[in-house]
Amino acid sequence: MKGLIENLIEALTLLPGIGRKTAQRLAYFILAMPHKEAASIARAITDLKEKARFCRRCFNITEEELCSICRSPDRDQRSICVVEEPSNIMVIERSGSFRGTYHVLLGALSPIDGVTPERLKIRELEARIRAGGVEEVIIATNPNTRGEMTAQYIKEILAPYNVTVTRIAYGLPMGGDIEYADEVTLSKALEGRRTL
Amino acid sequence: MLHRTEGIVLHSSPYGEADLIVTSLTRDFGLIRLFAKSPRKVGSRFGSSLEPLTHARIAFFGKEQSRLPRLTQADILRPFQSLRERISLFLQISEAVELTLRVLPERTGGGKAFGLLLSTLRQLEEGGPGETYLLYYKIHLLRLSGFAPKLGRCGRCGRRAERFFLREGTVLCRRCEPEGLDHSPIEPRTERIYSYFLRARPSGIPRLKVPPEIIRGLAELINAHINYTVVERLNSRSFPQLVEKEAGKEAL
Ligand SMILES: [Zn+2]
Ligand SMILES: [Zn+2]
Repeated sequence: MKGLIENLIEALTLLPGIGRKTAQRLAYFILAMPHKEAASIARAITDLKEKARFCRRCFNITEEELCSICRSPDRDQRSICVVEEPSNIMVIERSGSFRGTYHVLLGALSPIDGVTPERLKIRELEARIRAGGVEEVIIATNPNTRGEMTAQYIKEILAPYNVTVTRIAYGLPMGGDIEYADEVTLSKALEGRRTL
Repeated sequence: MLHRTEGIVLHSSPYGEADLIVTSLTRDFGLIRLFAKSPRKVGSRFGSSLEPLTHARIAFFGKEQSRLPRLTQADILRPFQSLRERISLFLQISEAVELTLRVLPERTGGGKAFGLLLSTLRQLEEGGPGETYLLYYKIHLLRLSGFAPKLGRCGRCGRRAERFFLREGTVLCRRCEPEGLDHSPIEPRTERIYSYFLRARPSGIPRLKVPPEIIRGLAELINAHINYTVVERLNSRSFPQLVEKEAGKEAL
C-alpha cells in the first residue's frame, strides 16, 4: 500500500491544472490543517457527489428535481438562455442582466471528438420549445468554432417553431484595446455593430 | 529553444481551467502538439488564432524532444473563418482533418502535408467543387502516409487488373487473386481519374471536367479503403448530415 501522503498527492493530480508539485504542496497544507477544516473539505466533496444532480428541466446542477432558477416564480419563463456548461449559469447570474431561465447543453458539438447532437441536451431543448410558452431562445454558447457550430445547429432545429432565436453579440472584450484584437474578432465586432 | 514555423490548427482540446492543447500541422515539424497558456480567457493574446483551420505564423518553446512544447506566439496569416461558418462544409473538412490526425505520425515530414492542406483550404475558401478538392486531399494524404490504394496494375505481379480487393488495398489480376475474397470492379474511367489525381497539381483540379458520378464512385472507393485500412470509423462521419441553407453569412 502506498503512503497516506502519496495517496492524497495522486488523488489531487486528477484535478485539472494541478501538477505533481502543486499537489504535493496542497497535500502538506491539508496535513497541517485543523482536523475540522480538512474534514469539511472532504465532506463537501462527498456531499456534492452524493446529492448533486441535473435539473430535470434545464440540466443545471441542483439537489432537487428542479433547480432554484426553474422553481423561482420571479424568473421569466418566456425566455431561455442556452449555455454549454452549468458553470456558465453562475457567470451570467453574477452579471445580473438576465431574468429568464436557462438550458444547459452539457457540452458543444465537435465532430472530430465524436460529440454529435445526440450527445448534448438539444432534443430536451426542443421539447421545451414544443411544449409552448417560450418566446425567445438566446444562444450563449462560447464564441469559438464549437460554440458557433452548436448555435447554427440549434437555429436549424428550432426553425419550425414560432420562437425568436438570438445569439449573444460578438464584440471586443471590455477594457481591451482595438489594436490588439485579431482580424476575426474585429470583423465579427464590425458585423455586429449597432446604431448609437 | 525557440522554434518558428507556420502551422495550421487541426484540433484543440481544453486543458485545465483556461488552457488548450493544440495540434498543429506545421511546415517544418509536421504534426505537433503544443501547449497554449490561457487562450480561453477573454482578451487572451492568442485571440482567435487557435481556432481550427487557422493558418498562422507560430513560435514555440521547448527542447527538441520535449513532449509538449509551449506555444508562445501565433499571428494569423489566413483565418479561414468562412470555412468554419459553413456547417456542412466544415463537417466534410473535419473528416479530412480527422484522417490527417490519424495517418500522419507526429513530428515527421511536414512540408508536403502542410502544403497540401494549405492549398486545399485556399481552394475551398475560394469556392468551387468542394467534394473534389477534399477527395484530392484525401488521396494525396494517403499517398504521403503510404496508405494509397493501388489501381490499374496488379499489386502482386504488375499486370493490368481491374478488380479491387479491399482487404489487399489493391487491384489483383485473375492469376494472383485469392479465392473467395470480396472485390469490386473498377471502371477504366475511375482508374484514369485516380491516376490523374495522383499526378495533378491542386491548381489543375478546378479545370477538371468529370461527371459527378465518377467523382462520387472514386470517393466511395477511397472512403471504403480508409475505413478498412486506416481507421474503422471516423468520428466525424457519425455526424448527421445537415442541409446547408447558405448559412455562410446569414446572421442568427
Ligand atoms: Zn433548472
Ligand atoms: Zn497479378
